[in-house]
Amino acid sequence: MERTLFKSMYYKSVSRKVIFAVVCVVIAFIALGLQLSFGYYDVGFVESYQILWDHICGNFPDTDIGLKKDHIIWDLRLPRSLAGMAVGAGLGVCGAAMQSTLKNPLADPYTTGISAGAGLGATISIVLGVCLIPGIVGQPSIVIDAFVFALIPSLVIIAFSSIRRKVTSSMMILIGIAVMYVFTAMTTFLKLTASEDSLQDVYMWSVGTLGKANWDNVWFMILATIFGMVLFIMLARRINVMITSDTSAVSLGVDPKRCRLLVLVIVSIVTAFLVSFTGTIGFVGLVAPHMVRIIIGSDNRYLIPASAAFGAMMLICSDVIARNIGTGLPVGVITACIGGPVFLYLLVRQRKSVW
Amino acid sequence: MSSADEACGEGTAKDRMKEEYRKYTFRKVLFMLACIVCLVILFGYSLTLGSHEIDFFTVFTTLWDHITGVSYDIGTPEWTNDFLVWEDRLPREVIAIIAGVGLAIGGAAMQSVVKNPLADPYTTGISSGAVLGVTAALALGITAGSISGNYGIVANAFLFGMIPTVVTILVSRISKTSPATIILAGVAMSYLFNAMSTLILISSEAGKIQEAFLWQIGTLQWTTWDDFPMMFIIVAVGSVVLAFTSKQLNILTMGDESAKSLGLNADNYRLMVLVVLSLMTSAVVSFIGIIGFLGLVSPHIVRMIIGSDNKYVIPAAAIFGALFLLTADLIARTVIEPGELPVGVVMSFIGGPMFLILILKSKKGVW
Repeated sequence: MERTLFKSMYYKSVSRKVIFAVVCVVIAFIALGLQLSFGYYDVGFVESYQILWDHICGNFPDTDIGLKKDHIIWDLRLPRSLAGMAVGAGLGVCGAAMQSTLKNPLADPYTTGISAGAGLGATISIVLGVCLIPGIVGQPSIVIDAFVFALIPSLVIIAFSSIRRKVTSSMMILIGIAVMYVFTAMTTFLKLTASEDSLQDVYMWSVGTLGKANWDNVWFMILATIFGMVLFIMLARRINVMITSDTSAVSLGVDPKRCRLLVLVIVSIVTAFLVSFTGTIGFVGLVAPHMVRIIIGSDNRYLIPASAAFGAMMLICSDVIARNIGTGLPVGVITACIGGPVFLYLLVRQRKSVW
Repeated sequence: MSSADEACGEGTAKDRMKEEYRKYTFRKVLFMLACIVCLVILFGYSLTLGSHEIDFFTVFTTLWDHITGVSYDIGTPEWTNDFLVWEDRLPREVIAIIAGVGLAIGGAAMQSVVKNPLADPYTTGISSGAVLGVTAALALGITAGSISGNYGIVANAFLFGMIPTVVTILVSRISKTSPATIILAGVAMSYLFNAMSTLILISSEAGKIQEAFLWQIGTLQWTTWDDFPMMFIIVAVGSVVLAFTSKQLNILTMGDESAKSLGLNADNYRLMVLVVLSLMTSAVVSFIGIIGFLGLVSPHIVRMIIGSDNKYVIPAAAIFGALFLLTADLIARTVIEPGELPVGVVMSFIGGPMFLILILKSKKGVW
């Protein structure tokens, strides 16, 4: 009797979590339709799904207007929407994993200095016009520099961990901070020597935008995100164990140092891919996991996939709004303007502490 | 064993304990004294530097004479020295010390209050609020109480800097005053205010972006005696309050339950500390811009050297912070001629590697 009661309670709590994730995915899907149908050339909401479906099935339209619509939807608008979902999901997952492994509510995908590294790379490319691979100029050079520099802080942390036997999570955070400040100082130094126009370019890069997405680069973002999601969902149980304490983790058969470094490496790779194409889009990686935590609790088995769904939803919805309010409005601004108050509301309403 | 022997044994144990305790405090006091000596030497040295060189001892005699009210005839070399030291160079050094003390104590207190090594004085969103205030003043010409010019910027930075803190405190009051809530509410407010600054900056021209950027990185270049009174009073009062309640800060780090059982109202005390340190930070930031790194790292460095007893960390961090900012400022203004580097950049360049070495060398975790 009691057992069935337990079982039904458990199913109820699990189904709540699953429903939450599904609702996020559905909203993201609806936002995708909105995203595709709005623009200089209006396409109907349902029609846009129709066109997508036809393109995927290989039924290309034979009329001129049909081809034009297909081109607009598939080539011009879809990459941006997919990039939005990939970046949102990727940052959401990485943020959740980072917060859980470092046991710190202030952690986000950029905590270990990835954004500072990417920012330095981008600034070097924009201000000095130098690319790490010679002969490449313009946008690709920014991407390459940003990507390479984004990985440096994590390499420093790994190097330190190989010297010291014990590496606690706060030590990792502090090393990240030190590297981050050195990088930021270099960036600031470069910015001071920069002309007004390149300073504006650097500023625009650091704010982050989805506008540069196209079919050539969106694949990298999607694959990086899927890579991160799969690995973190597989690691979720281990991360759960790590939350207790390092000693309990050891006694339960998880090597905390190795697990932390593994998470760090995955987060760095995924985030470096996302950041180098879009610039540092903030807020989602930090706040999406927190919102999910407040709503469904902090069991990483559900938290990680739900953060992906919620992050994707958050970013694509913000991008729909950003594109329709005004031109050139960065998506991060909208995310923060809407997400900030919602987050405060959730904080006020939360019943029990999840940290 | 006779009772006399027992008493004797107790006595030696007590002596040993005393001895150990003395050793324990000795190291900490020694560290502080060393920092103070460095600070005084550096303070004197940086007053000698400038377009007109004044030697080290003349600086101190000139200062002493000024304080004791000796006056000179206009145009004499003594008068020139007095003018250069007192009006031209001293404000900058004094304000560097005040700012260093304020930010370092703010950082140490914030890290203890929210129990997070990532926290700094700006955690509740003060910096983003101040940036919004300044951006609004520079780009849109909106100032609090429509004070124009430089004071409009200062007033805006101060008032806007306090808004996120007030909201954070309100949220944590309504919900619950746990460290995580304070941090998260602060984060939400920071993002919100940063987003608003971005909105303003995007729609403004490139020149305004540069101006706002220059304010943000913080500098001591434009400091005068006019900045001194408000900053000094707020930082001095705040430091004294936090230094005298550092024992409670220790209790707070043990957890709310233990704090309660030891007779400390954790929620009220936390809010008191937050208010005090926010006022201090806001006062510093609104005059000299946002100087990062110092508030976050000085308490950590001090903790690595003398341990994490707040009774010592707070004063030691204050002295170390002042020393750190003064050194960085000295390097910032002498390393390139003419002109100068932003002090925040110098600080990160020296502090970053130093911090890495300390982390690598630290034997036990202090967090």
